[in-house]
Amino acid sequence: MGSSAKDSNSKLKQSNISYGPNIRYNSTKVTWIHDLTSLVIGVTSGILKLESLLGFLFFCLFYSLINLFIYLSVKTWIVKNHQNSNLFTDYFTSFFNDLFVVDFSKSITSFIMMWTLTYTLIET
Amino acid sequence: MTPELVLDPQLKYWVILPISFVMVMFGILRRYIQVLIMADSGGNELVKLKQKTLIGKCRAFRKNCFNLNSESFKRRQEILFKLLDEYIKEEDNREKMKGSESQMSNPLFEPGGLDSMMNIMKGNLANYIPQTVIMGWVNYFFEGFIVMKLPFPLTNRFKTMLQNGIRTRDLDVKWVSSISWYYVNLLGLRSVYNLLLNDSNIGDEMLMAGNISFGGNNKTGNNNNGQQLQLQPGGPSMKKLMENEIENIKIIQYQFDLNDIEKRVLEYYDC
Repeated sequence: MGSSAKDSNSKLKQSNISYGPNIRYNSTKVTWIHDLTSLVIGVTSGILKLESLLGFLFFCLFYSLINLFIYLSVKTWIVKNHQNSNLFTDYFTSFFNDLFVVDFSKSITSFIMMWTLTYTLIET
Repeated sequence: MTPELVLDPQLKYWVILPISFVMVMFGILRRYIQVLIMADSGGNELVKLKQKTLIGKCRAFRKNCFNLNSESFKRRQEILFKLLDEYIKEEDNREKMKGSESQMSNPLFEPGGLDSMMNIMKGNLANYIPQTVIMGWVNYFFEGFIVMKLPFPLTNRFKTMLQNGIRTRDLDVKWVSSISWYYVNLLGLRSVYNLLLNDSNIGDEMLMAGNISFGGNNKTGNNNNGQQLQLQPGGPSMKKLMENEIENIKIIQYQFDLNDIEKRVLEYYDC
């Protein structure tokens, strides 16, 4: 009896309630933030006249920083509203994948675009 | 230190900005054209719609049936079986009718298959035509001169692509012609479109997702709410899907989630 009870309890925990549209909404929000930040980082690094590797490092640094802020804000919201603080997967499919991997190629290309644009506008 | 090359500052106003502007405008236009095309072919037959919703219902049932007690589980199971049987019979009849008219069984020639093929083709056309047009325009108008300096070095391999039409062997690849600004825009403008067309259109896209399977699907993870159900040209027929659903519902290993809930709650709190 005890084992089956444990079984179904763990099953309840496993089948955490993640509602598809909500997750989609969150990921579109994150994509929006990523788009905006990549453009802004591109403009700043163009204005600062960063060149070659320095520019990419600048991008990586601020991109990670933004992701950290997103993570922290979600985390604090969860801690405030739920007792259980390991609920990040209820709102996003996975922390690393959603914040770093999915939008990366898109963000870096738009960063390069804004970077080259502002760089040439200022240089010439 | 004298600079390697001095570019006319007027270049940026007369080449770079116009190219970006035109590309952004083309992107927005393409988006609205796509919406119009999709809206045109959005008409769904009543029967198809009914079948789709039924299959969606079956999926929802399979996923959530553990919240039902055994009595209502059985009742729902029976109802679903009855409905599925009915629909399959209807579909059979329809196929027979069709079969007497024509013997074609090639999926390419089925009306539904052709429709979805057309949709995919229209989407692709809406993507490719403007791109070739813009590329031709850029190549024709702004060929043969250096426009800008990239802030990062590239290997010599890119020379043929990015310095297209400039006959200097030793010039650093940093200096590029207008076609490379086109490429950079092509890749980088996606997020600009997203920012410009964001609010209402995302929802539209989600509604339209029945027609296109775009890259966002794997990122969103679970799309198990029956809306996403779609018929691809080469995919299984509705009848097959419904027969599968019958099998699936038959083999559910049903167990009520709230069995012995009192005991489990007491155990959980160590009473």
